[in-house]
Amino acid sequence: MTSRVVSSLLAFSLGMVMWGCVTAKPADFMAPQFQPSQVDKLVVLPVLDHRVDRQGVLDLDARILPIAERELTRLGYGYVVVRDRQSIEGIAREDLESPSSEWIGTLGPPGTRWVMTLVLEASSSSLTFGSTGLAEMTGYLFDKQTHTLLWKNKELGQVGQGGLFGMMMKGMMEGWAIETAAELMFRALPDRHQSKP
Amino acid sequence: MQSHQEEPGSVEQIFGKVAPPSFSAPVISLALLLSLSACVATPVAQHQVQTSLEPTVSIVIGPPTIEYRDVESDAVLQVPAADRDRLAATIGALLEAEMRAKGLSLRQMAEEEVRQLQLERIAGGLFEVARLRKQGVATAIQDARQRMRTLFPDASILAVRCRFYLGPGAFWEPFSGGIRSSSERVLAEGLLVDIGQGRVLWQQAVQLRDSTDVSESALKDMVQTLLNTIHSTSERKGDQQ
Repeated sequence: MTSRVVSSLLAFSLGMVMWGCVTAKPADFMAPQFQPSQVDKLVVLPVLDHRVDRQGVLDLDARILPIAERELTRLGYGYVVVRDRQSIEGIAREDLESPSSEWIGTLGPPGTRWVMTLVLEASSSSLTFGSTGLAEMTGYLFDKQTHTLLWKNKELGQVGQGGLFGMMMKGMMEGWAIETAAELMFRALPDRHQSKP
Repeated sequence: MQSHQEEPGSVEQIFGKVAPPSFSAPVISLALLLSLSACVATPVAQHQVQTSLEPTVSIVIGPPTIEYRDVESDAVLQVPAADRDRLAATIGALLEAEMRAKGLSLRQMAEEEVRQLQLERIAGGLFEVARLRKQGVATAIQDARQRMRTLFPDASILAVRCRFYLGPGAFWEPFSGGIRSSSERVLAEGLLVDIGQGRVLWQQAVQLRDSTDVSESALKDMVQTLLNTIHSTSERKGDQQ
């Protein structure tokens, strides 16, 4: 009995130590010319919903844009959030996969230079003995002046809770996973405070 | 010997030993049933718009594009060409069978025609070439579109891309008791284009969650769901009668 308690404590301690060692993965793409200090004010467009399998109706802007605002503030970027969903009409998965320079120039309001698009690629929740949530989010930062992609990062949010309590939380899981993925996604955006002008 | 005795009790270790056996059995059964129900993957289609085609429309099925990607970074993963080709051939045969069952006039693209299209230098293969909506494409794609117009002046091209997203599977986290779903999924996308007139006649996307199953039965389900919104006019007339 004592040995079981000791081994459980050891496993727990090891887990906590490993948790502390977890670092954010680097961005999936970062252009060599990307200088965060040059980005004086970026425009954040409404969240694109590119899910094939849409289980429920979610107000993505209300859920994700506050995270974007919080993270951009923390990282030292000036920003303007566009909430007019007409500004993202017609942006398809294929446009973002391999963006042409002409297309980049059409993004966001005229007269702006740095444009960020946030895309929900997939999300779901399911009931097990507990419940689980899953979401995939991708962020892009474009420079309309040079017509280039500066930064791209995709993150996966996997959340869950076991037991009967977890089963009761099923309705919250998808949103929780989306928020987790969004927060992880911004972790790979360079800190503007540490960027040399 | 001690560990051997502990094994049958492992489920109770997870769910706790407070419940008497008469209560724990139904709870465990329920948990098992719920877990299994979560494992059943059913393809889900994006669009519900139905497309009717005249049986006389000549359709050429191109080689399906097969891609394996990392779900966490979207990076393309390398798979042996032989495996990819085998999978493409299976999906191609399933597409042909399903379209024939709808009474449509079609054929597979001949190897010589595929060779003449010179798709090997285009990432995304035929599907990338057939995405007519996309403007400002690379010169290689523009050239391939021109070759396709020359080769198939009166035919419509069916282009399909299957992306197998690989990533962390389902797991149980002992510290929180949390269960995580598998992140793996399959995304199949189809386009039917009239290349001569530069028109997209039909498009669909289908997703299969929690799975990258490449068994023929799973692929058949996926292909059937993908092509569910295409009909021949003769088939629809038959339905009405």
